[in-house]
Amino acid sequence: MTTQQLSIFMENKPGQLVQVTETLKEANIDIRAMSLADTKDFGIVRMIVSDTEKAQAAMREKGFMSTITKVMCIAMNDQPGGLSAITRVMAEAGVNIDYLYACITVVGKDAYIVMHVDDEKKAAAELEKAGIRMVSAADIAKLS
Amino acid sequence: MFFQQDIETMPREELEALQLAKLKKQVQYCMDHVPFYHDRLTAAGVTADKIKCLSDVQYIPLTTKADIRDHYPYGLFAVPMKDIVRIHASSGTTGKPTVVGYTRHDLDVWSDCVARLCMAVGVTDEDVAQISFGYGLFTGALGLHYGLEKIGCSVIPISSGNTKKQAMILKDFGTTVLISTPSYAMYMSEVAHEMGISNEELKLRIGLFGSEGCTDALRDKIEQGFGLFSTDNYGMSELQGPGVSGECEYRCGLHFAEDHFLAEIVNPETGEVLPRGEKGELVITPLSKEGFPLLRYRTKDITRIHYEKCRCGRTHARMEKVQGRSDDMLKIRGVNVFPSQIESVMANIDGISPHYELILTRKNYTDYLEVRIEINDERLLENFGNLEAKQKEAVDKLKTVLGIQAKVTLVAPRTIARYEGKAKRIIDKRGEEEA
Repeated sequence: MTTQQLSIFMENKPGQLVQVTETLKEANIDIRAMSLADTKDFGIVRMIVSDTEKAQAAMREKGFMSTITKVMCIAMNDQPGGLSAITRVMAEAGVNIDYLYACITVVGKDAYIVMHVDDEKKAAAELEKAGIRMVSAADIAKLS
Repeated sequence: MFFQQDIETMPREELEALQLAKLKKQVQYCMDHVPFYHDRLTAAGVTADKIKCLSDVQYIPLTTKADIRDHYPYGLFAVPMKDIVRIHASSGTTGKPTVVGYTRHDLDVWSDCVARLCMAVGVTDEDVAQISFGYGLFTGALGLHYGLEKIGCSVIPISSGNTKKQAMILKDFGTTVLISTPSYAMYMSEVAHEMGISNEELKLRIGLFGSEGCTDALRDKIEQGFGLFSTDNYGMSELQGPGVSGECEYRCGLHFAEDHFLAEIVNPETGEVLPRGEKGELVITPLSKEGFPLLRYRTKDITRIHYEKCRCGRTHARMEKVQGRSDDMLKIRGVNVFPSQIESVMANIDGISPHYELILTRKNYTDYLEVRIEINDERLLENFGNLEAKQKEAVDKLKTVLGIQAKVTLVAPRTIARYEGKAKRIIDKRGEEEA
């Protein structure tokens, strides 16, 4: 079970991020999760949004380069040890987590995290075995 | 294909005899009609009679761009203005432009030279030629224009600029031959593809690119982008404009129009003539010019000349593609760097566009080179490591080719300026901070 993530290339200079967010605002796109890593010269903004394809089209229009990647979205208990339960499953299965970030919204007792791993099938199987719930694209779409 | 087969395939002995006769005549002509040359030749003790063989050309003093500037605007013209039917001028990036004048006969010779290089790559009277060079004082557009008309092509004098319209006309007018700078051709293909025009909808088959250097690697990218075959041609306004030399379909050097130009290679430091086959500065004596004759003009271009007969049947000598004008050469931390070297590195890295920008700065008496490149492969964004690897690949390849460490900055697509004429890819800020 995967969901779509939009990754946008940004040069590291003032005003870049506001262009991204303004573009999404104009296209009436809601951001569900977002991560931005810092480096000296350039960055990649990763996002889970309400309409990935529409968001990409809007970004293209403004000249931003972007790509859509499949990522896993997982529900975790929003309490101490919640994330640890997931990372332990990955560690024991020998699956490497490339990156991970959290959704902005909390749903009941659950927090959603977004994760990209080197072996998605194995990760999914192990999480299922461990009784950890994965969130579908439809679930994310319901968020507001 | 040939435009003037008898001349283009003339046995070398005959060709050199013709050159010698024309050289003597030209020396006499300059002596009689240009006071500057009268004084120069007299001071050097050179007369037309004393020239017995082609190598005697070495006794004639060299002419430089500064000599032309010193006689701005018309001081070196050899005919009264009533006989001048056209005036062109160089871009004049520094100081005043260099002004050149043509008689009717000069224009006729010029269009012959251009027609030769066009037919050498297969242009015929059936072709529709779109000239996307800027018209004006610059010789490129009108030079190609008259040569192509002489062949009988349908010429579209669109000039440069308004790239979307260019792309539309390429398609709607059924353009088969495109004339532009290589960098503009590259940009035009990007725009055409963005507009949803596919190569199948175009009839383009030949590109005649010139007016700026172009590495083989960039040429390959343009050819793939547009699905055409292209050749390079060479010239400069002082000598006539395009048509001094041009590639044939074998692209193994640019054939001079040797009946109209005598080419030599000299040591760029000393001005001494180098033995045949050695690399050095190209020096040209136009042999047919009336309006603005020159003797032994220093081009500042570094190349080598090959005299063997070409597979195409032409006997006229070939110059190697100019790697860079000695004017364009950058000295970075004492190392000589030609922008063309950087271009060829960039064109050989996947996932980035061939557009680039060089920024030179100086801090604490040390030069720094920054190369800005555009990424154009979305897949690179899937993983941060991809981008870092691309950056490192560029740094490493530059280091191998140039021997210096450059900083490579990845920038977003379409953020580096596109040019409709000659590309300006170098931003040299050295000296600014010290001033």
